[in-house]
Amino acid sequence: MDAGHTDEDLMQSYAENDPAAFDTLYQRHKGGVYRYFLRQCSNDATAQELFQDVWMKLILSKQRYRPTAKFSTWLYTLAHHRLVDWYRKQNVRLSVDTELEDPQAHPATADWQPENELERMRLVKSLKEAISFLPPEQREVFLLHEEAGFTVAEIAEITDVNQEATKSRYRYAVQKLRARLEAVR
Amino acid sequence: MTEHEFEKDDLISDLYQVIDKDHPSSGVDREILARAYGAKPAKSGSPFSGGWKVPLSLAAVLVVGLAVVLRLGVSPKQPLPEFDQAIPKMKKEQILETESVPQTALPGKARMATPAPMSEMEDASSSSELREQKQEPMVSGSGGGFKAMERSPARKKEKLEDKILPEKPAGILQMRKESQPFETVVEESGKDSDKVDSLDTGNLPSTEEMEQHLRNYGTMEQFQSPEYWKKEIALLVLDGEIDQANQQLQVFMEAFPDSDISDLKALLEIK
Repeated sequence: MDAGHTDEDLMQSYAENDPAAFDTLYQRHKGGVYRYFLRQCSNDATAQELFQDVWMKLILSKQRYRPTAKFSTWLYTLAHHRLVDWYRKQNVRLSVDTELEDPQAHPATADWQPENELERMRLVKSLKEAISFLPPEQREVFLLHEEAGFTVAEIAEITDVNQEATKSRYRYAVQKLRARLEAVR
Repeated sequence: MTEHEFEKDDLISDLYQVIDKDHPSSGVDREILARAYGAKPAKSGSPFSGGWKVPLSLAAVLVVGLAVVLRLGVSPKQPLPEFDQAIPKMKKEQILETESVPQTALPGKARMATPAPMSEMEDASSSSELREQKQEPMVSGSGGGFKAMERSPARKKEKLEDKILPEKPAGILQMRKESQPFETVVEESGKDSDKVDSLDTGNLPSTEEMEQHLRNYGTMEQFQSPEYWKKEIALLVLDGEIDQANQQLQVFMEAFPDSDISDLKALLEIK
């Protein structure tokens, strides 16, 4: 299948029994979806299980896809619902949006940059750990924006919250990550 | 609203893009793609599991049901005559052999009509002993059964003709030719075979009687043996029925021209 086709065209073709279209779609999105789960649950086996569940559900519900919806939004909505189910089974309490902590308590240093490649690699490792310490909702918004490139509106649609809450979650997430990186500097 | 409305941190975004780009395992890739291409997932086990269970069960029930219906459909609507039902299959074949020579079913004085097996004939120490043995009625009954088959010269002649001409059609029911009510029914049944079911079988030999007779007097092959026939002629000579013996000998010579009859001729000369 030609790589120039949009996701929506490919999904429409797959819904009309063209499995090659699915192959192209899968190659495009499998990395982002998998890392979305891996960063959320920090466990490779669990990430693979959730990842597989989402794609299987997409295969089974291909007839319900409507081209009016953006494919990637639909795909990550499925992933979000699967993640919420997993959280519930793990008895993970999803925090509310009211952040007691003042984001201004950890002001980011905008002009700070790593001095060399070694420090850069150390900061990358610290960022990876810092992401795992974020609250799930903030982490999800951060990942959806950085990994899949979704806008505020799209993330709000996927996570089923309003846009202000989405922006707030992202802002808190970035501030916490920055603060942790400065701590290891 | 655009993504620029996020308060982006360039350093965080740059660092995040450097993090290892993890991917799902190749096994998961194959599993998902196989499912997308319509193949069964690898973890599906028995062919009788999942969606195949119900169709296979229905197919099995359908096959069994059709077999039962077809079997009921081809079964005879009218029951077989009681006589045929009672006789086992093997015995029935033996009886069919005797149908072509009905006189073998008639015990009594006429040895030509009621021959004994060859072994029995050879073991007999004398002809009188053999005669006594053969004169005992097989079945005692009042006016029916084998006892009703009285022997007569005419009857013996008839039997002899049946023997020489085995192709002459003779049914088992003709054994009872001397029984008038039965004979009447036979004639009627010749016109309408459906009336056979309504035959009065009260005078017919029972199944046990027929089987006993077959045990005692052997089969058609034994009866048609020339040696056996010669012994029967010899017994007629010993009984003093010289004319009958000569008549039999003449017929025998026509049937078996190459057979050695010097002993019989010598016996006839003595008598």
